[in-house]
Amino acid sequence: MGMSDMIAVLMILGGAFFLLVASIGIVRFPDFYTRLHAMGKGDTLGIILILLGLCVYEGFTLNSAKLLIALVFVGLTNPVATHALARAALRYGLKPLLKLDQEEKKPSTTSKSDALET
Amino acid sequence: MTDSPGTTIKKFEQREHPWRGVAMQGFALMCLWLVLSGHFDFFHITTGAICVGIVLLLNARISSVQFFQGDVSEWEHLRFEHLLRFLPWLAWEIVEGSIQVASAVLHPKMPIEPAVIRFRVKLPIVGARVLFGNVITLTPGTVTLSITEDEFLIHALRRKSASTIIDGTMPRWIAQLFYDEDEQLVTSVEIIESSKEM
Repeated sequence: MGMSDMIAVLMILGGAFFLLVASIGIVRFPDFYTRLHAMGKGDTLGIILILLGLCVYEGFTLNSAKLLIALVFVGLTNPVATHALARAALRYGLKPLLKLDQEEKKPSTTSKSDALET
Repeated sequence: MTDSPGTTIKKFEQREHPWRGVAMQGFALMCLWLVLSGHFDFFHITTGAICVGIVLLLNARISSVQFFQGDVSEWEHLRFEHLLRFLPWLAWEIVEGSIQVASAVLHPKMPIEPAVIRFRVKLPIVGARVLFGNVITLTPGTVTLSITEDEFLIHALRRKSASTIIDGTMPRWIAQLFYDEDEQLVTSVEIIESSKEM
């Protein structure tokens, strides 16, 4: 196993870690907007790392060029989709649960039951 | 160096290289074709060139449509040498933001303090504002909620994640992709921490 394989494995593992964290975030975060952070962007770095890791594994070939193109498209479409969701929610009138609302609702406890309610 | 916004807009109205945009579009499309096809013989390259020509013809009419009032074809003025310096900075912002969000998710107490921030930003170019909105959403910890004229409404997971936006670092990078800019671009920042104030 060469040096580039090691780097590729590390990057893909890192990417998988960030995707896992994003999934945990969707369950743990209290409301729609905060979950949007976990869903839309927690995986930004995850996908970037996985695709770059595959590029490194593949070496300097046409396939890694295709992976880079996929990377550009993910980078362009991901924020647009996230913004579309956020804007739609705001227009619908969904109020975000902000810092002071959280403290009002349940002082110093943010827990699983909170996530299940909403 | 210190152009007032009026003169900067004027500068964009006079097109220096009307064909530069078309040529760049054609080049990008041809590269995409070559990479995706993977065949470099005469037949495949000719087919690609014909397809690129058709797409350029169809696109030529779209680019003359004005989507917004006062809109000018500002993408032709994108400065690539600045883009190359901007992308590493953006990559670092994404990494830093991701680690912050990840630590907030995994922390047992989940230390998030969601806030909605409203501010005005002085970016006279529509394309720059679109780019700015996208970059805000792309960096973890902040989402653009809505953009009306020059007023941005963003949702931040923690106040720290919006720091580079509020202090004007990020909009300055965006502005410098198009023209030289040294002023403070973000004004009238309003941090909302209770949903009743919205």
